[in-house]
This record gives sequence, structure tokens and C-alpha cells, in this order.
Amino acid sequence: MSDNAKRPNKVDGVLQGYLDDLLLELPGSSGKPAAAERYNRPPAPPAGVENRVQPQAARSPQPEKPAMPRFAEPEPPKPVLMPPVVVAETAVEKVVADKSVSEKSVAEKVIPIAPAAKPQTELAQPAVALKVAEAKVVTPPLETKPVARTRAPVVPSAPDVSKQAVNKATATSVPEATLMSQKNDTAAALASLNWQSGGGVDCLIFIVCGLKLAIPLPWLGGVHRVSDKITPLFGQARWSLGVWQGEKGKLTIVDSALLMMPERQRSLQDEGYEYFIQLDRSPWAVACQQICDTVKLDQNAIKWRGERSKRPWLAGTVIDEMCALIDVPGLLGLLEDNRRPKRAGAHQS
Amino acid sequence: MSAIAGNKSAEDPVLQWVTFRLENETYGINVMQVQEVLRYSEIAPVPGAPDYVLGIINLRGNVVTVIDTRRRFALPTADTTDQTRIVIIEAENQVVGILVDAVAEVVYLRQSEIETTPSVGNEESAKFIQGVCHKNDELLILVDLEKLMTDEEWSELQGL
Repeated sequence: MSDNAKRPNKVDGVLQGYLDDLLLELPGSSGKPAAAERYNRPPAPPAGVENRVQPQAARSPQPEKPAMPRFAEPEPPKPVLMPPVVVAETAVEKVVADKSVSEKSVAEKVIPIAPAAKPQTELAQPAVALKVAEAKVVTPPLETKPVARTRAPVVPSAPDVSKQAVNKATATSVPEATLMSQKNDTAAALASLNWQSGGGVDCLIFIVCGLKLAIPLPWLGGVHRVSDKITPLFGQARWSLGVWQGEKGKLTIVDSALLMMPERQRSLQDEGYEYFIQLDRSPWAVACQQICDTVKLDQNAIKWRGERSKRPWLAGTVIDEMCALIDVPGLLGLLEDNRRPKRAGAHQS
Repeated sequence: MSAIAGNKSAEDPVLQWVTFRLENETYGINVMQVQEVLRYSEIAPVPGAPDYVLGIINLRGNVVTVIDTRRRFALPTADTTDQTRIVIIEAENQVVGILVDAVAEVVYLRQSEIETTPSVGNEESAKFIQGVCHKNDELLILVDLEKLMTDEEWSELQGL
């Protein structure tokens, strides 16, 4: 970020006040950081490797576990959680085949990662189960980072890190090889959401009606400049700007000012917008006026929202950057909640 | 070979849609529901009629109710122009006219080309949208005329 952005001034004071209001009116903001859990703020002690990147077969033997955070970060694997099932071996074979990495090379990479003493229960487990989790740990990071940093007007879409892919990764039956590649992408996305890691998580900062918002790059579907016409549909909510036809399908463009801060009574329809940012791989995109920069945010830089927040789109606020961090799955859930039931007889895009 | 092609066409029929313009957007209605297209003529207002009814016209001796499509779609009002047309349609066993900015063309769309869009909000008019289709570098909004009005409103129209 530029120095100007960090220099305290009157505008920043007003903005900071607004950001504080976002959190202060939420009674649970200082207590239980629900957003932190959603964004994989690991509780103490660490929850282990039971996250969404694991194959279902690996998670199935732990029904007594509480509800998992939506984006659990990959922790150093605890072998005791690995399933002693043959299915995992098949999954490993697919993973290894997809990554064109031999089991031997994977094992070599595994060794320095988890050299700690293993519980005795591991003796009864197939070694391949370990390779599943650790093969994901060494998955290369997303390619979205350099793309967003270039601030290109039209950024190519991010790798398959969609919510749909995440959901599929957690499904009970995932037989297709293509799904395995999606799992790899999902694993990469989840690994990149490791807020406690030294590097933090890259986030793209953009501006909507004076408010700076940040979106984690792993959940960024793409950034598009408003060039083609956006077709408004009648009878929609006020915050729906219309539909944009892209090469890979349609996106419904959301007036992020009206949706996220209706109390301000400002609309991008009136004030104009230059870009829209696709949320993950969903058919939704939020409009914005300016793309700023990417920053690395770590756990301590974020003031997480409370679990009783009335703003499901808000993960927390970032004091240093004077911006609000978007909870992408929460925002998508909010949008889907407002969606009417699909009509019969028409094909979905 | 022809049997396979026949099955394919049966599964994915080609439909014809009459397109019209309204507030710079293009809409489509099923050609089978369109009876004719008239130039704008004087519309006689009907006292006590609902606000979405512009009035009535005399169509070769028959009285046809003309609906204010802009109001129905919650669009701003606009003056009539030389391109303004009254599209005579048949829906719910009634013949009515809808006032549009202009009539464009007839397009052929496969059923599979018709896509749904996320419909959000609580506006009743959103249910009029049957789907959308990307055609000729623009998004065509397909209108379900049957849902243009509720059963009560159709009955009310019949009583005018």
C-alpha cells in the first residue's frame, strides 16, 4: 500500500469510525470470532487435518467432531485421524497421478514435513493416508496472485477454487478424476488461507463508494472491467445491477454499495462503477469503482467479526489497511438466500 | 440417422420468439402467442380500470384491452414514437394488446439456449421473466406472457 493510505487524516478517521461501527454494533464481536473460524482461524489447540481438503474417506471416521470451520487451514497432519480404508489408497493414486508425482517423490517430500513422533495408532494405518494430506501441503500456490498484482484491466479467471469445487471435495462420493484435480485446487486455495502462516493471505483491495474492501485472492473468481453492456432485469432487488454475459457464462452484477452498506443510501447505479469482481466461481460478481492493490494479511492484522454479526458478508476489519475483509462464502450465502426458486423448464447456465 | 436427428430435435426443440424493445432492452415472447402487430393508434382510456391498463382499441370491430407494459415491468414511462407498436397476443384464452417501444424481429432459439438467471428480490414482476438468451451479442429477456398477470387480474381484464 502506498504511504498515503497509511497516513492518518480526516478521511481515514471517518472511515475508521465506520469500520469500527461495523464491529461495535455487533455484541459478539469481541467474544467469539465466528468469522475467524470461517476463515480458518485455528482454535487452540489446533484442530488437526480434518478439513475440507481431505477426501471424504479420510473424514468419515470422525462423526463426533463438532461442526468444522468452513475454510479450515491445513495443519500438520495428525495420523490418528487418517482412515484405515482402502478407498483412501485409490484417492491417493489419483492424486499422485494427477500431479505426475511418483509415490516415492511424494514420500520424500512428506518426510521433512511431519517427522514428529507418530502415535501408535498409525501403525495400523496405511501409509498412503499420510500421503494424501501431505501431498496437498506441497501443492503450489494459486496463480491468481501475480494476476491480481498486475492490476490488469481484465484479469483471467482464477484456478478452480470455487465453492462448488469445495462442496464437491467434501461430498461423500467423488469418483471422477477431474474432481480430484478440483480437490487439488481446493487444497491449494485452503492452504493459501492459512492466516497464521508467516506469509499471510493475499487479498485484493478495492473501493466501493469510499469504503475499502478486501477479498482473499483464493476466493477471487476474476476481475472484469465494465466494457460490455450489463443488461438490467426488471423486478429484481435494488442491489441487482443486471446480468453480464461473459465467455464462460453469465454473471449477476451486485451493487455492493447498496447491498453491503444500505444505511449510506449510496448506489453504484448512480455513482458509476468501473469493475466487477467475480466471487469465487459463482454466478455473482460485486461491482466496484477502483481496484487498489493486493496486500498480505495475517491473523493478527484482522479484527474478526463476532458470531452474532448481522452482516454475513463481513469477515472482519483490517486496521492497518483501513478496510473491511469480505467473507466470500457468507456473502454468497446472503445472495443465494435472496434468490428466488428456479423456474421449471428452463435450462440453467 | 434421421431418427437420431428427430430425437434430438424433440429433446431440444427450436422455438420462435418475437422480439421487441422496451427501455433499450430486448425482450422476447413466444411467436405462437402473437396474433399481430399494430402501429400505435389512439387508445381509449377506460374509467375505473386498473393502472396497468392503458385502455381499449377497436380491432376490426373487436374491443381489445391494451396493457401498459412499462408499468407492468416497473419501468419508467415514455412517450410514444413512430416505432411504438401494439402487439396483439393471446394468453390465458384472452386477446390483449401490449404496448412496446418497437418490434424488432423473429429469432429462433433452441430450448437449451434458454438460461435461467439468479432472480433476486421480492418484486412480483420478476416472475414474468422466463429466461434469458445470449443472441446477436446481446442478452434477450424472454417473457412468460401467461404470468404477465395473476388469475385475478386476467379475470378482471375479461370483465372490462
